[in-house]
Amino acid sequence: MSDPTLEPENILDRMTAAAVVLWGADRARELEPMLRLSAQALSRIDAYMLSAADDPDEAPNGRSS
Amino acid sequence: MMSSPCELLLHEAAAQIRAGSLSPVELIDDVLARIVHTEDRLHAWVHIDAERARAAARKHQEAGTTDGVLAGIPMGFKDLYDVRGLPTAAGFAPWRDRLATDDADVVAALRSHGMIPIGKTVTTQFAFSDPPPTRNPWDLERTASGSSSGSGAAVAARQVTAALGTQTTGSNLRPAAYNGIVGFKPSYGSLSRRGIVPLAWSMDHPGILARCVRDAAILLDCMMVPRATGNGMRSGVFEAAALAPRPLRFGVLTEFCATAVPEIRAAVDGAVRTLGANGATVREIVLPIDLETIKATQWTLLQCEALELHRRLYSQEKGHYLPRMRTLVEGADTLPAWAYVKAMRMRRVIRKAVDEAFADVDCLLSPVSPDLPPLITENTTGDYSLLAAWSLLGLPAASIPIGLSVARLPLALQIAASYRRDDLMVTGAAWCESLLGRLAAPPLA
Repeated sequence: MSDPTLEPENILDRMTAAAVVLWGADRARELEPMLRLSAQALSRIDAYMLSAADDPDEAPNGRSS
Repeated sequence: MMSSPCELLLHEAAAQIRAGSLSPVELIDDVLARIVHTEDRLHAWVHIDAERARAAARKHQEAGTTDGVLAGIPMGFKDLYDVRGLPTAAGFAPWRDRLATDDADVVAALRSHGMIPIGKTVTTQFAFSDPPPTRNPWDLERTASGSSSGSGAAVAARQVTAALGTQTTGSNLRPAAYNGIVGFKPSYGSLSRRGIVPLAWSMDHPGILARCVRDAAILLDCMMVPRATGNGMRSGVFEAAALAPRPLRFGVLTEFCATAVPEIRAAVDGAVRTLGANGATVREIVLPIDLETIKATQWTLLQCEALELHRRLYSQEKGHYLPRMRTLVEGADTLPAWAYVKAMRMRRVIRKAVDEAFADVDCLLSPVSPDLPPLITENTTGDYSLLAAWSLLGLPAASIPIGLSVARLPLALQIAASYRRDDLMVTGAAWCESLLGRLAAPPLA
């Protein structure tokens, strides 16, 4: 079962709260479309990762240059 | 009738210079004249260095150093690349006079073969998505895309023989597609990024824009040289691949194709049928991870990395950030810490799935963009959906033109290969080009 805090609206609420602190309430409202897009992206990734098999080597480490 | 020098392909111009039938000065003068004639409509350049370019051409001519593979060849550089003696502004007003004291590594590599930089081309601010002023030479009411808009439009409009762009999401191949030219985005890490303004380290790629696959391959040969080998060397591997096109095993990404407008879908379908009819093995491929999840991962990583790059500068120069770049930085600052970790883990999952898709094919095919170049009034540089995967994973990918739409706008095919198999990308692109042809010059008198 997925963690309810990772539903898009929950993530959006937390990001909006951060935006109010960082940039003020007016700017937070202007940022809402972008924050919503990002929250949806995070929720989508989270949902996929919950169903992915564990990988013992998955520690983040992109392609080396 | 003889071609005007500015219309020559890179390898044609270089051959004529080597043979003595074209002088570097003639070529540079013709290119500069073409810029003067068209730039007020195209808006592709932020800085032209005519005096130094002419001086370099004269020096080549007088010294007789016309045997280099790029001797006397004029190139433009997206205004993220350091070019010695020119400003690197990245579309950011406070950096307007920030002179580069050295060349970016790849610029130095090209210069060592005789290339002459003629100036800096328009980029969107910091290579993000605020629309640039550049117009599309196929229809001046449409975007030349972004963020490498100036390089794409300039090469297509015969203002310059070739140019470099960059790609973090779709910023090199989409301008190639929209402007009807060839674009290469080589494997991540295969080309030095030193001296190039970054946007997101783990996905930033130098890119090549040229008018045919062979020209792009020659540039790749000159740029992809192990650092220890030093400038003045080139591998020759990629030009050899371009000169030996052959049918490969192609996979067609059906989900990618399904997102495209009907005219693009039909063009790609037609191209794929031509490849199959001429000896290629073609099969349909469905990635086990949907396109939206790939885009979500790429977008999350881009935000986090761009924030870290811009946090300090933004606090000092907020007023000079354009609206979308400002929104990117401010929005990214609200992301939770786990966002980056989760996206990195997801990238690993996607990489594994895509690596497996290459088990039975050499190259994956799709449209470059699902749409035709949008109108300037739409205030967008276009759709990046079908390019994000290859930037996210660092895989080599190319864009080649495959015809014109009913409205006479360029249509394009994307050819991606597995990591560090840039040779297969070049071979595949060259073979497709040999069957599907190249576009004539755009109607920009």
